[in-house]
Amino acid sequence: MSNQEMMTRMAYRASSNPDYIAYLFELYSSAEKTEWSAIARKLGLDEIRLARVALSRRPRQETFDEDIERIAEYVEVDVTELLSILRHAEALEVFRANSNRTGKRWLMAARDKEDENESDI
Amino acid sequence: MTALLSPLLEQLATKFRQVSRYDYCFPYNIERAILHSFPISIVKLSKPSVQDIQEWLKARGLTIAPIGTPDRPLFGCTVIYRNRGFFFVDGLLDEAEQRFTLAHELAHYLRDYDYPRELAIQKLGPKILEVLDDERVPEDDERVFAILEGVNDRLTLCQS
Repeated sequence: MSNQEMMTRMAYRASSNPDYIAYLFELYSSAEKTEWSAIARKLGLDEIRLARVALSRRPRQETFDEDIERIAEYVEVDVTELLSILRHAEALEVFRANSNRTGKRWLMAARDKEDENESDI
Repeated sequence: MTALLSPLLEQLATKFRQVSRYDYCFPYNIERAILHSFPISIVKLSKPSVQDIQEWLKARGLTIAPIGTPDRPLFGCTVIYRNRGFFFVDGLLDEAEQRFTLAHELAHYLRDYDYPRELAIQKLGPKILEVLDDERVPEDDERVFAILEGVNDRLTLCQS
């Protein structure tokens, strides 16, 4: 088995472990009905560099910026593109875990087109 | 000279500039600033309505309480829970209008969600996050303290 194949296999295996970015990639890919290869294209990475990102520990909330910068330097990936996937996956994760919750803890607000109103929805 | 902004809005704008390392370049890349600084995903939809957003969430297995508001076209929309969420924006708007819409949604987040949370933590300590994140109902002393400290209106701590 080549190094690349091994890395890719490990990355897929890590996708069931919430501690790894692979888990967030898998959440994103299943929700958006897209393949990991599409994530790689979005991030401008080849398969092995995508696997390196996927096998990185998930950024910790308290050191989020630092962790993201470190990953970005390690694989030379565009930070903003990486953030767009990670932020999306994290929101999906929280919303899925709390589906059907009701109450005052949600913030829902909108900017209406009609009459240029803004409203709480 | 009359101040154009309320002290709270000035405070929030200052916080945004600090957190996002605002660099005053024009046109400002607010999308980048949001992604870098806040736990929010930006989703661009074509001419979104209230119903489109509900369907978008449903298609991803995200069932939230029925919004219970008339369907209507939107420039943008904010949905936040447990300090994670989405800014939806009409991706067919021109760039300036998208930027304005995102600034509008960010203002909702900062004023109506982030600021009250920060205030509650400051007044009641980090344990109040359990209430704000829907993990438990507030204790009696937290309800009383919230009322006395004047954070009740923003937090709806008494309406769990």
